[in-house]
Amino acid sequence: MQNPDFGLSKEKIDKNEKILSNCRTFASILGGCVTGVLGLTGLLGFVLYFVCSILLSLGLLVKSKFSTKRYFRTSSSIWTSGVGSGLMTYILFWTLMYDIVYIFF
Amino acid sequence: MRALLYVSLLVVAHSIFSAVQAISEQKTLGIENRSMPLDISLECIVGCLLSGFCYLKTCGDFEPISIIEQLSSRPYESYEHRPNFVLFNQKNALPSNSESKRPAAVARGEKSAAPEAPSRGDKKKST
Repeated sequence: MQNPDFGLSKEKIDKNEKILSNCRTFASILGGCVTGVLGLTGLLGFVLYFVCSILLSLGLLVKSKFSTKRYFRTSSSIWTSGVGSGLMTYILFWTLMYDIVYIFF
Repeated sequence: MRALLYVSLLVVAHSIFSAVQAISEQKTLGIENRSMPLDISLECIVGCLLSGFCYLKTCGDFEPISIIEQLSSRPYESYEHRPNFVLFNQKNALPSNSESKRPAAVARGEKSAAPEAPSRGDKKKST
């Protein structure tokens, strides 16, 4: 059975995945800050996370010139990779900003 | 673009500070239904969108993962100009232009000394 990564450079795959992960983390931090400052709570905050995530994926799609197969193993990597870990970062900064703005001072 | 990224992050930080001040002022005045002023909200959203855009531009470019595509972009001449074997950490120093680097045995003129390696452009013969 042929290796699914046959003919692919692991170094480049890892590099692209690292860029994707860093972008996801950065967007989660920014999204969490915005949600906390705006004072959103409950499900609306989670909806805003998915909106931020979709906006980021669209930005990455444009960055890759709409040819995701050329840079990633699967086309869905841009849409699904790092969403779970990004959600944790988002919640962290969301609660932090909300507390700083509305509760602590 | 990186400068614009830093500026947009400063804008976000400023909006956070402004939000803290606005809410604490509303608490001091005893306002029950506290809401974020529109200008601070807009400043925060615009700052975040701008910094996200700038980060996408500066985070680095994606590179093709196909090995065939990488190899096809290299010129044919690059395969001929690869580094040869390099000698280093040799006990007998390689000959150079300065005489002070010659091995001691050769400098004393001993017959049992190792034969002198061919010099590279050094026209002076050892005596």
